[in-house]
Amino acid sequence: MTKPLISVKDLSVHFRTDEGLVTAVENVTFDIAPGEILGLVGESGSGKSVTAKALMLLNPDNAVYDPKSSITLNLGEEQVDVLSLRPKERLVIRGGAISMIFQEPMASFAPAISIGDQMVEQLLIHSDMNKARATEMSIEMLARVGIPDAAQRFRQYAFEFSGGMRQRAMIAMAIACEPKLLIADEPTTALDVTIQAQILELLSDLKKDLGMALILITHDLGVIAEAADDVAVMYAGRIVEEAPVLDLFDNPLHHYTKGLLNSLPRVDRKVERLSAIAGAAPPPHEFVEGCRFEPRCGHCSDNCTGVRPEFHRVSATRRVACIHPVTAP
Amino acid sequence: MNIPSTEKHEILLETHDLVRHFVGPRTSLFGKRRVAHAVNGVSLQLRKGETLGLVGESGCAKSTLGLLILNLLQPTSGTVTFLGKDVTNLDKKEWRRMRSEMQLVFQNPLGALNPRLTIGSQIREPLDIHDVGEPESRHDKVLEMIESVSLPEHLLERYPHQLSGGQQQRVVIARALINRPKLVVCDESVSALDVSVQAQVINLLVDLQKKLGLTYLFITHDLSIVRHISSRIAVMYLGRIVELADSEDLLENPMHPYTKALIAAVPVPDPRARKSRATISGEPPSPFNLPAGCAFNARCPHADEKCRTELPEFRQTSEEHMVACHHAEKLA
Repeated sequence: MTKPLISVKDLSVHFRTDEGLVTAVENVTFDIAPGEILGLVGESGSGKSVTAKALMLLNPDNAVYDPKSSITLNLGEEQVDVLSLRPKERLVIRGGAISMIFQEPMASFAPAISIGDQMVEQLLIHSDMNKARATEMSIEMLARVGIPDAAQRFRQYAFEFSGGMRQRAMIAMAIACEPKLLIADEPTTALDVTIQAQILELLSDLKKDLGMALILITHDLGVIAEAADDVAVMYAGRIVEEAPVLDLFDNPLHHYTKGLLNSLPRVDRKVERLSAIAGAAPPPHEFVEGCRFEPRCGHCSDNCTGVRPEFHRVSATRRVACIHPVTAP
Repeated sequence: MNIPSTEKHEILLETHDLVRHFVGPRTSLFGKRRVAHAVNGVSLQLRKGETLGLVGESGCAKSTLGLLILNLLQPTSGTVTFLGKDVTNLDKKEWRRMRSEMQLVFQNPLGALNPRLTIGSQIREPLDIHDVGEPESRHDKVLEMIESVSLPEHLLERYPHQLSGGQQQRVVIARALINRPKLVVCDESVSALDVSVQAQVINLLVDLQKKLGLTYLFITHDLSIVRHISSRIAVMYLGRIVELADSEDLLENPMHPYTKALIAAVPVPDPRARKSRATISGEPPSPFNLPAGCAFNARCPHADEKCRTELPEFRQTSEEHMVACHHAEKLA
């Protein structure tokens, strides 16, 4: 097996709040191979964005990383211990080896600086290009992501772009420094479906061309099925299941994953009645030690109460955190 | 314009050639004001007891159409006939009486609820405003309503921020239904909810429709939801309905190239069904600057000279199928 590009081990993130320390993410462990697309799926508050932001140390100042957590980035010879980076050293990950795109591209661009100037600025910081070369390169990148009249668009501001074009510009900016890993946090959620299809196709093309790995964070299982190689399902701050995408959809092991799949309305076929999961996911301040899905689970036993289900390996490629996993049909 | 035969169906609401323009800011200090052509002539009928799904991308004016239908927005021209009366021309008193017959459920429940009133008093408020029944009996009605949206009684004393998103949306639904309206416009009512909760609320809406004989206009961008909940689907593009049919018929045999592209673009939760979903390029044109001919012509792979000059008529191709495309039959 190839050496993973990034290894996340026992990542726990707490937040200092007025109500005390609140845990948002607990013992999250996963690897990403170079060039892999990992889908991180979960509902709001499940901790998927906090996990992703931890990889770039982008969580707010009140975030506390548990001392047992480790994030290791393998850059050829060099190994970077992300969590111990001092502020000045963080350029290695931020915009360097790792880059991130967000749901709302309008909020990610400075409104009063042209798109081009923002792209040039980062190239000047992260590479030894001069300004003329950086300009040329930025225009090339804008054209690469499918923005027509790139040289003209280069001089425009974010508000002059449509939603889809803005997302393309953000992708151009994110890949300009040739990151090893691109984190896409709900990259298509704010877009219309026809535009979403275009952006997903663009991301998958770029991944192939540049050989970068991709973390695709979404709540949409359709997007996951469309794009991911491997999938990690998060629930209430923990990863509850991890599997290759075909296995996950064919044969989910965690009752939460199965419940989610069953509750989806489908465009490709008629479903008589949706089988909804009763109840709602707990908010972080109500997280318990034991299985957090137990109150909504139809398959729990007395053994589930108070006992934390170990995130254990069931095969070479699959792990699940449940003591009564779904049995094969 | 051909309107499908309706003898079999009782019509609850009918719009005739609805048009709504919005006047934008001046282009310069002494310049002209720009006009956004939001809704450009919509004629449709809501049949009693049905769910009509209205789908389209952002900016196609599906929400504006919803507001026009509810008479919360005055049309620039055209009429809305509800229970046999033109609601755009009612006097205040009559309108007030009629208004409780049509209700609206928005996307964001927290924005629709008053943060400083308890859940119980908010659900009760419509009864007080319209002076329904004896004041003493109103509490019983509230209890009955909260039970039918499957919320526990003790929540009546709580405030909106103490509830989860799914619970909040149930409260909004309870409040909308307490005066037993005939028509409910659901504008992206489940879009903000998490998948597992979304299914609960969809099931609830379906159950309440059966129980109370409601008619829904279900506005959403999500074709999967619309297929599940609707009896008929209308597809909107840049302020016009481009296709209207029975939901199964529309999804299995779409006739308009935009409908086809829209269906193809929806990712299916099945990794074995992967395929290229980006079948059309570009984005919808601006409502400030309507193109000549068919609004979809710039993105349509089949567009020809006729499409660029002549607006396609919204016409009937079979008893229950209407489409606005010059080449619909050829492409089907």
